[in-house]
Amino acid sequence: MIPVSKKNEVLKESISIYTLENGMKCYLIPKKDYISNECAIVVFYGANDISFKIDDEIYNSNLGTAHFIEHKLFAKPEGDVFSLFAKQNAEANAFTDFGKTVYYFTCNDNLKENLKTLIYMVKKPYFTNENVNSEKDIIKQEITMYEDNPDWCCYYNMLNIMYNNHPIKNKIAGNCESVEKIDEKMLYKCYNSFYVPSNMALVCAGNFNENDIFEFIKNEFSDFNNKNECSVIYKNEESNIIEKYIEAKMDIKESFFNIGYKLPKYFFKSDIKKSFAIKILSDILFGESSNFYKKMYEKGILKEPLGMDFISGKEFAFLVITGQCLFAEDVAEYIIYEFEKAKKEGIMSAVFDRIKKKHCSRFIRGLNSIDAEVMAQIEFATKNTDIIDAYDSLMEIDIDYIKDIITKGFFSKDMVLSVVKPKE
Amino acid sequence: MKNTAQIFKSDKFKTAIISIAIRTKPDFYDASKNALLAKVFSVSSNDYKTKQDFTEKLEDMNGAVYDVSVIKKGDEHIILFFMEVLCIKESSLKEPLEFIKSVLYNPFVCKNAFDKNMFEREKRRLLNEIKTKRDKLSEYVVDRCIEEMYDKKGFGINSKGDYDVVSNITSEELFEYYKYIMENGIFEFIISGNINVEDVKDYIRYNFTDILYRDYKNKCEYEEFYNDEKEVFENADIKQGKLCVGFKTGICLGDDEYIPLIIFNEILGGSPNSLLFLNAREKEGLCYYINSYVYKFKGVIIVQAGIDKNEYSKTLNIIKETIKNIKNEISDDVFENAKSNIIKMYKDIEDSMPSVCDNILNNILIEKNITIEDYISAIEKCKKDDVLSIIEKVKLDTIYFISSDKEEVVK
Repeated sequence: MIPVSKKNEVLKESISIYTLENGMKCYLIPKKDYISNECAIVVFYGANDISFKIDDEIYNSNLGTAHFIEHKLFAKPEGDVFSLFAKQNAEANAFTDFGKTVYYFTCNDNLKENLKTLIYMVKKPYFTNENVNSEKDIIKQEITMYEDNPDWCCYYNMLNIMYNNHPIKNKIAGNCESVEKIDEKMLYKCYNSFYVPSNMALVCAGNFNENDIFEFIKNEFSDFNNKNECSVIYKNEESNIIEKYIEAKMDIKESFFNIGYKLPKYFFKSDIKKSFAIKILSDILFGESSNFYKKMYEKGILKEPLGMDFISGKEFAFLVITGQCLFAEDVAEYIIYEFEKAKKEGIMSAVFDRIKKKHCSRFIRGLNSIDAEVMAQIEFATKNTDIIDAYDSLMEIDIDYIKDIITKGFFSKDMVLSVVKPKE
Repeated sequence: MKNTAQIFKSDKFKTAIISIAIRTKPDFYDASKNALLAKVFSVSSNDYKTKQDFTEKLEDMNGAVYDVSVIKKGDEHIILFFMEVLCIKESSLKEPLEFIKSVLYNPFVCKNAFDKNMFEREKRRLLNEIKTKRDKLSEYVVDRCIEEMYDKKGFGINSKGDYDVVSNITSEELFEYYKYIMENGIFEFIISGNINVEDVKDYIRYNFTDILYRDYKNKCEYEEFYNDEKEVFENADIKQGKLCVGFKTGICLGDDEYIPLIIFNEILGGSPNSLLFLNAREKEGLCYYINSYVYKFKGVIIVQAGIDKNEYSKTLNIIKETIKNIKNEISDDVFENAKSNIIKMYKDIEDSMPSVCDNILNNILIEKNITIEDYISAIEKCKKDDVLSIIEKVKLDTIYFISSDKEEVVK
């Protein structure tokens, strides 16, 4: 099997991309000087995939099912795979977000042994009434832990005044009630529908021979040919927001805020170039060297840099700007003003060049760490691309592209503000 | 001992690191000055007066990462400059070194005081950080537990500073403190990357001359143990209680028993395969997370868990019982497995330049040169009996619990 191999001489990085017969893609990144290896399997199934259609039948799973599967896939008849990884000197972990579930491990030696375990784990679910029930208390503690987190609460409040129907508004782990009603049948139904090779990818980085590791992976997956034609159903979502403002109170010392821009269809399932461009744009307008931040910092309104993220997927996209301060309404007004100004006056090319350079260099810095590189490649895999092409996409971005993007969204009517204030 | 600069070439990574550690052993008041000075160092110099000029300069250097913070390593509070710049082709790091020199030697000063505007703004930022530290609950409980364990002395002083102390520091006083640090502080330079070593060394020799080769003496301090276990409760309107249990062992980095200690900790709560994880989470479903961590310069073990407030006593009992019975749980398999997992952690250091630099700094502080290979061979040689024999040194010191309605808990 001949892989697609790509190289970037300046970055001194390369990647080999193989496609298995069952349709699954494998991204192998050689890191010859490194001691550790990291390997991940990503399933393009996440918290948003709640209602889906199979053979003309609609199935509604409970909130938090994808996350529940993530917890319980480690369970096997012979015991917990977590311990098996530990016995093989690997550290394993997993996480779920709105659109994907990721299982991964790092190890120095025993790469094949651990790969075998990872693949076995994902191929062979073992959900029983007993092991599903015993997990519920643990997941409820996880949910409760997040409920005390003001950032988290502020974020979900924001999504709830932004979206009417789209499942992105739901918390990834669900809630205590929805989790209580999950059973092994539901886990199997969702597993069988989404854990199919064409809906998965494998990423591995470290010190190994690519062809050798690929042959091994191919062999381990040879009996995994599940197929399923299921399509996720989203209720119709209006383009407008529901409310402008939401406020909650928690036992905290300083207010948290999330400012969100609900973005139109143009931004749904954004490719990597668009995603990078929006991050560059928000850094230009609101980053630490912006005129906006200068004003906020010198007035003492903002004390720490704002957090900024652009998130897009099936049928949704939004920009979120987060921070902590007493005057969130003022910050929101200034942000509206800056967007309007940029729409009218454009952006300065010297500033664009400087910020683009910064983003390129941060991209390269990420390649220092095997973990950061694997996590980045997982993200790129969701957009069907890879680290080499992603870097080229980033390099391709010019100021006209950014200027064009500003005109496609970021209107004040689409902005919402969520604030969590201290209790009196 | 004299301080020197550790400068070495490595082209494994795509960036270079410049780290400068200013070592202090402050009292309660000077710890606050350290925190405020770090804030000033992190945003201004006379060449780049405003935060915007300062940030633009960093962005111009290919988006250099730069921060100054105070970290604690045992009783030492270290003002740490950390700068990371893109460095694919060999470089002499002239521009980034000049930048740090400007911050250090040419601060934004006016009439024997830091610029008033800048100073007041940074002070307000720090005060706000102190005021809001409880908003980060899991960091906060550990800080509070350690403060209680060491009576707010040395390792027990919060490196963020104290609200009232910071409020009273004037710009003149902080400038005096700055001059004192520049004249007496111990500066450790650690620089690594695809660098031209000779050029970097020359630059340091000619531009940081006065702070190199300073004599210092490390005072040896003995660990204090208390006979009574201390329970501290704090009330907050939160849904999940945060439990933090601090143990003292008196075994520190560099001691012979240090390796057995970290193996002990690995078995206790170092991984999802550890006894605490199995006993509290997998068997009882009490928590989503429970783990233990060794603060190596003090030999302190901190166990942390997020639990329902009604499970306080049960969880605490499980932690105590797990330690009490640990002798019986350390089978040969468990022991060998813990060893291999720790060896992996040490090997992984080589894959991260910040970790390599941190290990160098640790060696400087303990005045020994323990390489990664030394650690690995010590772990390989460690016997089960070595671990068993330190168990009795693990002494519960302080229990810190923050939750709603503490009265119900205390019953």
